[in-house]
Amino acid sequence: MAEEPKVTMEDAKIDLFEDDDEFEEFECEEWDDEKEEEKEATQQWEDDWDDDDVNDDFSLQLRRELENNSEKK
Amino acid sequence: MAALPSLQHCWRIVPGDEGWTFEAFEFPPPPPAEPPSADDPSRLPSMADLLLQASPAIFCDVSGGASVKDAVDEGGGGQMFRTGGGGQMFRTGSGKPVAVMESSISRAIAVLGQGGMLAAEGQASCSASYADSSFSCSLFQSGSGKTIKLSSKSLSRASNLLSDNKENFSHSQKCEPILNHVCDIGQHTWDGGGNLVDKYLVNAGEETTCNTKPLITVSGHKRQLTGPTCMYLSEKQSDADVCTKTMGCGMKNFAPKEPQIKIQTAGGRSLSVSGDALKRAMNLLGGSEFGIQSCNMNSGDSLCFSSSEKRDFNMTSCSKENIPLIPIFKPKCAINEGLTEKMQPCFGTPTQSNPFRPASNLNSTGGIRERIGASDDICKHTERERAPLLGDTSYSKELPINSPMQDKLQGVDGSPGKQQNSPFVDILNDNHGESTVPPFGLLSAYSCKPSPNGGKRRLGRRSSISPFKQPRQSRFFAPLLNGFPCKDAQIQSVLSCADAKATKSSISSHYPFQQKRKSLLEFFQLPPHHCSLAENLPDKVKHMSAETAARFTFSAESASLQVGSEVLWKMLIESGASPMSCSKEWTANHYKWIVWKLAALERCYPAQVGRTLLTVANILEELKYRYEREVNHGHRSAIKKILEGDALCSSMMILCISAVHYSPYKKLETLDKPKDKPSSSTSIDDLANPVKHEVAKIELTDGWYSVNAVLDVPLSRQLALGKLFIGQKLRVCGASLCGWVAPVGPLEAGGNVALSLHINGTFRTHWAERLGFCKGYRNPLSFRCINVNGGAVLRTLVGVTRLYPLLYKERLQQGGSVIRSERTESKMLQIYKQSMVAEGIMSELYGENFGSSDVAEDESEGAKIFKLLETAAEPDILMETLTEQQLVAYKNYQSKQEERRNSEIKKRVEMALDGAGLRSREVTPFLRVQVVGMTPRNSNITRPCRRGLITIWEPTEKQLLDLEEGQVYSVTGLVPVSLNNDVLQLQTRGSRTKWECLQQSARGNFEPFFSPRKSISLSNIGEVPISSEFDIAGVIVYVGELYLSGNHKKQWVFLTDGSILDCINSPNSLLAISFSLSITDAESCAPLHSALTGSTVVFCNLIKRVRDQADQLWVAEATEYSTYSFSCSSPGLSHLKEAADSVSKWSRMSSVEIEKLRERVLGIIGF
Repeated sequence: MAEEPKVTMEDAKIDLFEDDDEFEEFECEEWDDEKEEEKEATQQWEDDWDDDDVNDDFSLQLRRELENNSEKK
Repeated sequence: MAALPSLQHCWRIVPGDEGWTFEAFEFPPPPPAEPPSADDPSRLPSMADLLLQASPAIFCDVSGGASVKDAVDEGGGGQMFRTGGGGQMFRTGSGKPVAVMESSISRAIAVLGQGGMLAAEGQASCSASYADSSFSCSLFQSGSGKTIKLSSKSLSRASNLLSDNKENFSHSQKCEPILNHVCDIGQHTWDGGGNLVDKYLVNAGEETTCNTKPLITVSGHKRQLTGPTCMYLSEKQSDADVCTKTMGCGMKNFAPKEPQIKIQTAGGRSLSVSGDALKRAMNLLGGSEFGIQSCNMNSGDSLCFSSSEKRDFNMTSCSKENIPLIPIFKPKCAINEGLTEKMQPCFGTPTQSNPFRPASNLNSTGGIRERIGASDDICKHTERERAPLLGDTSYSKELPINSPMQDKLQGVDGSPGKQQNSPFVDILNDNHGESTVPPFGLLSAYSCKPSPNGGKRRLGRRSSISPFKQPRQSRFFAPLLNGFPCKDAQIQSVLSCADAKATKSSISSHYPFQQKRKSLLEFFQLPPHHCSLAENLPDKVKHMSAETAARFTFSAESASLQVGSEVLWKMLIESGASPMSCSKEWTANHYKWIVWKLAALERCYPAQVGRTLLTVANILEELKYRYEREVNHGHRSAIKKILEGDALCSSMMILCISAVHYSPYKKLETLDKPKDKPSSSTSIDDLANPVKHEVAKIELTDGWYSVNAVLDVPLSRQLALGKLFIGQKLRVCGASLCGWVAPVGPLEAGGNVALSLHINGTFRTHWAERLGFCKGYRNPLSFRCINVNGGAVLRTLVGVTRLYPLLYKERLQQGGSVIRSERTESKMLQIYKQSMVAEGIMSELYGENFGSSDVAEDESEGAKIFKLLETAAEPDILMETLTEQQLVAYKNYQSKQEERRNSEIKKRVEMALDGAGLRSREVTPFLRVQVVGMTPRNSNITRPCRRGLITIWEPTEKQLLDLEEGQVYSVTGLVPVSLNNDVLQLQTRGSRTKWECLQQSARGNFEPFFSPRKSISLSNIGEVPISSEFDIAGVIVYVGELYLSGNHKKQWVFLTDGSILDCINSPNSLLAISFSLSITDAESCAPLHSALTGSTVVFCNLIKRVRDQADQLWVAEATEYSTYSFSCSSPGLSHLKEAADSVSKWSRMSSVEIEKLRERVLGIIGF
């Protein structure tokens, strides 16, 4: 087993990159459907849950990883 | 104690060796008949009257150049009163003049100052030694001059009434001259002979004084008089200590009253608040953390929150009647300010300034100093008052406030010297502000320290966003006035302290970020993947989950201290975060998500970041950042906004799966999973799952907060298949909230509230996507990806291939429903309206005379006139003789009769229709649109376009007009219903759906989908696939009879089109079309009449059926979508025009052929 994490004072990570939890604050007005209607809607979500192969390499690796984690938890 | 005097005796105040004493004297009987008047010598003056009478004298004295101060200083007080006719002023009950000594006046004023005004207000004796006694007082008489006996209870009640009742202005008015007088004396003394105008200017903040003084008294206006009186006495005695003594006296006399705090509401109401309530309020405000209780509550003194007294005074002095009194009243204030500050050293009354004060007046400061002499403290306070006038704001800051409480507050606040000059908050309504507006307003006192927003300051959190979008807060803000009495200042200081805490001291040096940083994708570039380096991570990090992240602790190097969320909370507080906004729970929550995130990054990118991210410093910095955004900037994450009811849960957002609470497939999946193979090889469909209809429960996070989520069945299956997993980000739109009844904080929501996700609104998204609400356009879901059980589709893209005619669905009373074409519905409607039953009823009812059942009305004038006119031989002549009033009565009667008749007819018609089974119809129009999914050009999708049939219930006029075949539409709000023969059935309501037509240029991005309608002739009908729709123009050869077939009545119609050359002998020259009608409709309206034989008709949307080889007939079926027309002028029939013209021309020339074909048909059907 690796050693326990220690209290260390490093440079702030917050300046390195934008985290994905740094949500954007914007007003609800920007959700106006009327504005959206003005735009062209040619891009479609082609997310068919049944399209992807659950036996591809990534899926297998992911499953293995998740299972390992859950077992060791 | 001496026995109380009888009623015939009265009391008078006489100076004694040990101070004031009362002695009884015989009171002469009042004059029996003469009404009392103000000038009546028998009317005993009250103490207020006495001083009122003295006031002009004094005023004259002053204006006449005689220095009151000198007089006082020289001990000439008695002379002063004598000048005013002192001997005349005071009389006994019998009208006998009483000589008044100077010392008596001084003492009287002292009494008034300490409580003597109680007497002026009718509270004759509040002297401590006599408070409990019942006695008759010569100062009070009835209107007839009778002596009034006053008990201590009465006085107490009167006192309460006077102090509580804001309508006691008359009392105030009565007292004002006295006040003015006293103030003048005091002011004059202080200013050393400055003229009155100057004094007014100098002492502009009289309200402040009035309101800061009450510390030393209990309540009511009387306390406001104490200051000047005290000051006068202190000056008179040339001893600064007198102030304290006087104050102490006041305290001694009034402090024993039960502590009572008065708070003025925004509406001006005065509220009494108990000490306990105040404690609780202060606890709510975080006061306990600032030691508020020790500040305010220990003394047991009465506290006053800028009570109604101030308002009373303001209102009184500003009322029309009292306007002249204002300048007279104001001058007392400067003295009072000094005194007040002297009286409340503990709380550091804010300094006051008057922007209107001339600079020359500043010179008088020195004079004041000289005159005060030994009164150093007062002098200092005076200087403090005036320092801001010089514009030297630092001046007051330099003044030490030797207050233990102040020190304590400062110590707690951690900002020394901050309190003494911190402005009191102003959260008053504007209407109150009018009495506090500079130069006489209290705000002027703080004008040296500009408010950040240039106006009033507010308690509580402040945000740049508009107030109605600010986060809700549970803090209660008592509407406090600006100028607090000293005790109030305690509260206010703490509130200011809390306010300062709650406000916006930035604790994060990073936010807002000064420069653009790399995004997650730019920084890491690659998606998370397994790396062997991650093996070196501690197990706690490697297997970190959101749950274990909450318990994660760092081991301090020096000691056994475990650094977890609690330690981080302390660090956060020490960094300047407000404990009110930053609770331990708040910190623990954010600690959990930050730790989870940092551990995940270390685990996924060990080569790039090593073990540098999961550190206490980084966590603290992120906590500060979150505090900064949430508390100081009022930003809220998606989940927080949704739970607090300020954002729609159907908004598109990106959330991350943080936990899986329950999966109905998990158990079976684990059991069936081969040991050496991942479970993904097992199809969920293969599992005989007994809990198939149960749904999974997971937890979603936006990185800041989490919320439970319930997956629908298709999503639950995806979870079991491993397509949903912890750490995966989902793009969610159109979600709904379960169990949410009212706005709730994300930390309080618990497990009761859950987002309900459906697969048509849930998509897997990129690993580097930013969490939270998505901004911008919501792309439509591909039509082919719509899951029939996956819930509503927010938006999709379809091409309209066929637009069917408007249909009507009627729900039948006996159950079931029938669908009709527009033509049939029109007939049914007509039949309904022309129902013989209804007509019969109507004719019957209209012929009937509905007499009034109201006897009173029958006897009315209108009724009589009506009867007269009915029986009159010549009603016109009679009408002309009617007066205007009679005409009106007649018309009223007539209109009432008509109203009654209509009402009765309506009632009977409804009853009759009910009896005849013709109750109101429930008919819903609907439009069916055949659509196809759009395939992007050059895409790899090889499967055919998915077809769909959309039912628009109650379509809008716009939709009926705008929808067009061959166009591509972006459609919102569709709900999948079923899947029949690979045709997805969807439905929506006209008002809930939007059909946005794509521009022609946009259509170029998709593969062509549309086959325009064309006319089919019998010569090429063989090309039409079976069960396909086609349109044809032809001549009706024969219309068959209706016959019963199951639940329907059917009818065959035969036609030809002349497209076959030898039509008589050709086996392809006839088309048999089957029409079907419901039994009920068939009785009333046949689809086609035999009279139509020989007519040219165009048919649309016929379904080709299997050919009748035996009879050598083409066969088609007319469905509910099928229409026929005798003209091609209607929209959508133009493609048949040419064929129709050709057929029409042929039919005119081929009557013989048509007749032969008719005979053939007759032979087929057996005639």
